[in-house]
Amino acid sequence: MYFIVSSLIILSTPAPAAAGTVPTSDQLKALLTQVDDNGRSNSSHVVMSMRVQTKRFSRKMKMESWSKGKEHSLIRLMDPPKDRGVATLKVGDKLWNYLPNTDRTMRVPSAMMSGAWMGSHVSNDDLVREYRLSEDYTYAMAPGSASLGSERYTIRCTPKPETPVVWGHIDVTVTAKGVPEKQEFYSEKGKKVRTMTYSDVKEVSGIQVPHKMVIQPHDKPNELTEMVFHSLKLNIPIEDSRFSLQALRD
Amino acid sequence: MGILTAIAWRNLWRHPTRTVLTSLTMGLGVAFCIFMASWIGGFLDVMRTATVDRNLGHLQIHHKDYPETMNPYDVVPQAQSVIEGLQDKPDVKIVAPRIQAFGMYAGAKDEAASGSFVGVDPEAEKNLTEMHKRVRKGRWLKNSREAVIGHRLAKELNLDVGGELLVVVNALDGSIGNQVYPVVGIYNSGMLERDGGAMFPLQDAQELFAMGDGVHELVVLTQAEEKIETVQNSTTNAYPDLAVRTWYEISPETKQMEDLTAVTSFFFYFIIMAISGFMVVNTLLMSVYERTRELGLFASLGLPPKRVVMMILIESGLLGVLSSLLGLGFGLLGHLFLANYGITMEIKEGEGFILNGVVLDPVIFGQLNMTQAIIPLVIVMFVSVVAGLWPARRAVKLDPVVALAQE
Repeated sequence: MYFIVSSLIILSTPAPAAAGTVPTSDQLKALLTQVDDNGRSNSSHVVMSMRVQTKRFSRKMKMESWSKGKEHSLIRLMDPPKDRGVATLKVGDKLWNYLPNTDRTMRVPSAMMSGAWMGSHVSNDDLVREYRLSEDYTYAMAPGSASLGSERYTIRCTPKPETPVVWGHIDVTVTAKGVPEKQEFYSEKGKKVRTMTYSDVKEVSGIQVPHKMVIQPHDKPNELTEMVFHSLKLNIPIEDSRFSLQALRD
Repeated sequence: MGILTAIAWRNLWRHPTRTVLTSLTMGLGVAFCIFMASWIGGFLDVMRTATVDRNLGHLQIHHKDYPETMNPYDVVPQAQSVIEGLQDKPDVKIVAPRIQAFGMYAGAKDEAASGSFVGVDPEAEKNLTEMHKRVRKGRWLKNSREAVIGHRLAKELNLDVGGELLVVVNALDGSIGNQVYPVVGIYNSGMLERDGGAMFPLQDAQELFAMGDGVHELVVLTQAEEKIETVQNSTTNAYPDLAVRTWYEISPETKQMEDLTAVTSFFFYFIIMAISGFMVVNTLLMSVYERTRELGLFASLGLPPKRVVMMILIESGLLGVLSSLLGLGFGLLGHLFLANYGITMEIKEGEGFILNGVVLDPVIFGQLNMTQAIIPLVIVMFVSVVAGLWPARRAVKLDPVVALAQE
């Protein structure tokens, strides 16, 4: 969940680049740090719905999620009834699922990390990945960014050789105020693999947060996963004990 | 003819050591060929048992896209009517439906492993692949809501018969299928992939995957090997939208192995052919040289060259027969040993070679058909006679005057 929430929650800091000028490398870094940080040092509590549309099935889920720092998150399904109580706990780079049906917890084996999470277009790996655009990638203005005007930029982030990700590069479109609008993921061969689009920006605790995110895989044009925040609380106190196998069952 | 044969026989035993050594060498070549044929036959049998009898069956039927995509959504359309249609064919012996997927497994601890998930009709699978004979501990599937697990998974999860297996799968409706089953048996199928997973009754598998009465695979055993293509053709005609494949289309490697061993046998035959040829030429040329005076005498007494040729060819032919008999004797002894005691080729304890993810049985017992035993005999006799032509020609070409003058 960290991945989802952190991509959405943006710290509201002053615009790094003056309107009409090309941002410097430092300013790009500042923008990416905003996209990265997204409440990383904060805690959050979200109630959201998730709609998965695939060629084979359409599925709507409602869930609740808690996160604290970058190491901890917990997501629990509230709906549909069949999956009510199914929960995923992330601690560091490990992932556990709780299955109320059988009252058991199971650590997700590494071989299944690339599998879909809850049938969506988010993989288990996406949930635990910890790379920062501003540190683990090199960045530059993407070609065509200038045509967007001075209100938004598209920044091309290319993973550093030591960053073990599957992407060739990621084009991040961010407003001058540091609110993400779009992230486009490209394969190592330069083919666009998926797009995440952010919209419905609302202010929460003085922070501009998009409340809707759509993930579209490009090899499956009619499929998508859509997430909508219904309620979002930031910087609330959460006990560390919430992120334990014991709490996973409750 | 009679007198020539007598003379030829006598000639052979003028130098008993030489004749015996020659025929022993040729005989061992023959014996080696028979022994190899027996070993290769046993090896092919082990390989076939492991791939065809224990897993593939004679024919497999899938959704037309499944062989390529392995997509769990590509189920056999109207599987039930296809099964019934097949069972009505007199050439079809057994039809077994399967669900092939992947699952996450856990035992008592929350450490999980992922592995193959196979849903089967316990009774049909028992008759077709005899999986129940591969159960090493506990028993084969009988009732619903139980599981048998592969020995590799059992080891990985530290799970035993009587324990509980947690299964988590990505169901086809997008939900997380999860269930706990009692483990009733641990099997060693000999297939690495399957041994790292578990097997379940068909209905439980369908329920867990929320896939209705869908199945991925129909395995067909026909009445006899030569009926395979008949059944394949009629099934393809009846259901043009299905992928109907024979075991040798699914696993061409097994078939290729059989072809490869045929080439190898040919190579061995060629070698004994060459050895026998040279041995005969050598032995008889020496014998002709030693008998120069005698052959000159025959010629001056008026023995026609044709008879001289005949005499030498009978000699080489007798040498061939002698070698063949020795070879057959030794070869059959070797084969009998192999057929009764086998040769153990263990890579790991209780496991033989691994071929395409299939563990072969460690002990190979000899298998020989009569053709394979007779071919080297025929080759040796034929080559002996042909090779005799050279010394024979030399004997005929002798000038009687010069030959008689020789000491």
